[in-house]
Amino acid sequence: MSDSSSREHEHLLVQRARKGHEDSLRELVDLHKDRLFAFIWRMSRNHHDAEEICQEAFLKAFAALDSFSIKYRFSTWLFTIGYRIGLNRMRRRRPLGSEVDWDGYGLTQRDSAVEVVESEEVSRIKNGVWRAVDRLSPPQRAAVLLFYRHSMGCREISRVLELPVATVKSHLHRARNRLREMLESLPDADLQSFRNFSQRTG
Amino acid sequence: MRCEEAQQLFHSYLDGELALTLQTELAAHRVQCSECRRALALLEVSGHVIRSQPDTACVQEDFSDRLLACMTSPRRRWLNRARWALYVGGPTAAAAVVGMALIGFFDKPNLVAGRITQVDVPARETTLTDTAQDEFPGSAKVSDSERDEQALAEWLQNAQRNVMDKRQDVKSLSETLDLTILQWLEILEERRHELQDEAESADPAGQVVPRSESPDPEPPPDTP
Repeated sequence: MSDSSSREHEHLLVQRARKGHEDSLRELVDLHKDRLFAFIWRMSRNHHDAEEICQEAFLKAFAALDSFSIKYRFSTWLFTIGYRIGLNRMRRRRPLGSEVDWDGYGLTQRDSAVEVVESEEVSRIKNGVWRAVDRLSPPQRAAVLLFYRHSMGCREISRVLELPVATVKSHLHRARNRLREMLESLPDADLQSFRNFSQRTG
Repeated sequence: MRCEEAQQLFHSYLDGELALTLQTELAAHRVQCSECRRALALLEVSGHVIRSQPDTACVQEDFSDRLLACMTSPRRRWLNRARWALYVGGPTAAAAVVGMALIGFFDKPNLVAGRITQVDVPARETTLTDTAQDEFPGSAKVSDSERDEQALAEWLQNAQRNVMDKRQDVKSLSETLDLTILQWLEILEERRHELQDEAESADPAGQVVPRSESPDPEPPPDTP
């Protein structure tokens, strides 16, 4: 489905959902729940909290559906609500650390479909990068996740984070620099292994 | 392109916002300069790791069912009804009341000291002017606004008359009350005098001579 047709379909779903059609509500949930959960989970690093925040975000979005403007993407609006709820929760709770559930991190899991075996060097790099991401400030972490994992441009990220575009770019650039500083501490051999690995896996 | 210029373009390039000509120049410099090549690669590696990591954590399968059930729960239905009453039902009812008031549904008779005085906007009366206008279309017409003003003026006169009547009634009532109080004071004053007289007619020794209970006291016996 092309981008314009998906937007039209989304608008139709929103209009029907406003009238209380449960099938449209369910379809909106099914379309966006995984992406929203993935983003919230990587922000909060707690499965239970992430699911609660997702549920609350959907409920708030549907309760305020009349105020949603169709000139924006529903996902952008939903992510904005979810990010705001998650940020408020994180401010009330202690920093990431003891509550992080690393089980779903997936770093040690091997994808059986990939024939190339991941080396220790590559695992070291991935672990290092993700740990560095967890140590970023919430706005920097959100900017990096939305840019790289959700393929959002800086303008769309600015809507989600409710920040000016220049501020979003500043957060993104600083986050990249911090991640680079972490990688600079690793031996070059690791980086070379990672490059080879990337070229083989595409 | 120098290294300083190239390094300033790194983030714009990674943001996907670098012009094509500058992209070409940066690519050429990257081939020639190992330091810039390494620096840019370090920035790209983290992005590649973040982008390529698969999501293994996901919501539970019944997430949608639980969410929709929560939306249609009795508490949420009550909240939705309360929200509807506040934002829809309330204004609708208020608009209905205003409309009814405008058509005079709530006009009530005034009760003034037992006399009922109906206060309402006098009906528009057909005047000679109106008749003349009907018969002679070419003549000057009295506008609707002038007629309304006349009707309003008459209504105001009636209202003022009613207010004056009411004031008179209140004044009469207060006078009545004042009179009653005065009467009571007179009665009390009389009784005080009576008691005083009784005390004065008592025995000098202090004994009180009982008053005769008969309304007509017996005449004193004749003296020889």
